[in-house]
Amino acid sequence: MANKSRPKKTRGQLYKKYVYGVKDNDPVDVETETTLQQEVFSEVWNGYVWPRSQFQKVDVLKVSVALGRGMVVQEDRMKLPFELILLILEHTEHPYCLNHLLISRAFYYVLMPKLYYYPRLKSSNFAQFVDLISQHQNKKRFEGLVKILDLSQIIQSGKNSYVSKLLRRFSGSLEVFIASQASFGLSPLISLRLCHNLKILDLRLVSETVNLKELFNSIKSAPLLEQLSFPRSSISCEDYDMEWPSKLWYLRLQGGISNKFLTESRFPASITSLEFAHCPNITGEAINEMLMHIGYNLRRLSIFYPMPKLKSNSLDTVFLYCPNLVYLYINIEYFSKDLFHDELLPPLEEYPRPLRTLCIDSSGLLGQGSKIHPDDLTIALWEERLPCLTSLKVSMMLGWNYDSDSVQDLVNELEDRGGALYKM
Amino acid sequence: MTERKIIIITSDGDKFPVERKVAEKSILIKNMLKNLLPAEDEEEDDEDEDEPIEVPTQNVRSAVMKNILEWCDHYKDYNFPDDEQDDDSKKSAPIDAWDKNFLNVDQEMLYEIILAANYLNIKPLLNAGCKVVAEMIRGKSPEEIRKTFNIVNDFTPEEEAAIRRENEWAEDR
Repeated sequence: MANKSRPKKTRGQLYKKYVYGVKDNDPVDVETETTLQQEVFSEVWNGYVWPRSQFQKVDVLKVSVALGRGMVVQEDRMKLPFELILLILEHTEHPYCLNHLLISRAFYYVLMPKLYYYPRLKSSNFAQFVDLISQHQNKKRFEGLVKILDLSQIIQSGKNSYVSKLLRRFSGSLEVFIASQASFGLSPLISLRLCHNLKILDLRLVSETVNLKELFNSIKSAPLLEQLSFPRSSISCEDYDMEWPSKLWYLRLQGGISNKFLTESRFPASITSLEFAHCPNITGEAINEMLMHIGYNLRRLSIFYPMPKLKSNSLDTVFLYCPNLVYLYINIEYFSKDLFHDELLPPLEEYPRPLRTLCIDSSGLLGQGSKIHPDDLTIALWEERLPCLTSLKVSMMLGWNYDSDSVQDLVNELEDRGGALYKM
Repeated sequence: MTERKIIIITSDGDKFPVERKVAEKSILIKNMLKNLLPAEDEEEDDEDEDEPIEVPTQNVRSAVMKNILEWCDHYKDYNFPDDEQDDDSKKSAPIDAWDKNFLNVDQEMLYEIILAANYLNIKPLLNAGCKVVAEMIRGKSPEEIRKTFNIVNDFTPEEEAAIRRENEWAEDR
């Protein structure tokens, strides 16, 4: 096997391979060529000359000397100014594609950083990208350019070592990292420690087991982290005394987290947006206990199907624990009509309840549609217990008859408020 | 109370009398008028009320101005949403059918309309013009794009090959 990492042999200038019919490049020839080129170039001036140049930077002395020698002035070489051509390119489907980089030097310098700011990686080009970044001479070149690394489109072509390498290369500038489904093992997790500027860490697609303690060790060095999505895989964790990032406001809990994790972790008060999805071990009691602690701060709460250990009325107390919700996404499987009962949804004394958007989803299982009746909601609206609600999204699978009087009452009440009922 | 007349004077000296709300589609003219004219409720105190206001537009010739004013007239009662928001969605939105028909002119005129819309600061028209040209250069090679805009290729063949090699991964996007 050849050693591929061996540096290539470099031949000196004097050692030329002889090829039949090809003339040797005489250094004298090269010199005359460049001077010739310069002369030709200096005879044409691309742009305006004073006074038409007005405020453009023009080397007046040089130009007037050249004009005296008979230089030709060519005005308006480009049909549109540079910035307008850039604007047009921005309106194309792929503004930062290779074809646009190749237009001219100026375009290259402007578009190249934008291309690398958010490289659109797919299974088909991932290997090429990694190749480019791993080359030794490119070690420093792309350091500060990549801010968003989105590997969500990469399915099987990723490798732990590749992901780890990319994270290390872009560690100085990376702000958003979205992990791929496979290949997020221990080494990328450790490389994450170098990413001090990370603001969004999205592991929701990861299906490998992630050690939660290691994960928290890694994000400890990212003080700016604002959004965190747990992996949907099983999570191993024994210690609940983690240090949460102080600026975190979005948290998506997924995977094999335990009830103990919810009840014993000290979630930061900065969290205003909370999501649950794919949690097979979580019970309603644990969620409610967690909401008791941090529910007051929440502005958005989403609980997605399936959460197999929740009961059919586990979330009835959501409005009691979370009075400041603006957005609630909830599944009919986990609440009953008591959610809108005046004991569990009392009017707030100090200010009107801010809930604006309510989404009621359904898994479509039999019998779920009869759990709530449109009148339950209409009464809550009439009694001004949801005074700000204007947008109600209801799953088609609830099986409501949209021509019935009860649904029409609800629609009328929402429309009177300037809102609407939407089918999901 | 009669509204003061506004006359737009083009670079070749033609005069176009227009309604104020038509002229105000151009943010440049709107700001200019804001400085020249007092607010509408104070207008009564103005002494030379009948005298029309002349707005010189030195960078736009009359053939182009005629087109621009036709566009402004069509949209005079339409309020465009704030352009700071949702920039990306606006760029990806398909071009309006009336605009498309309106901009179905020869390339030179199209470029002049874009230049004038940029100078007069008429964002929706500029965006529509850019979209039409963007459609024209869609899928074209660098050489063809250069020809469209008359851009000089200042890459050496070696540089071009190097850039092509390096950014190969971005090719099929």
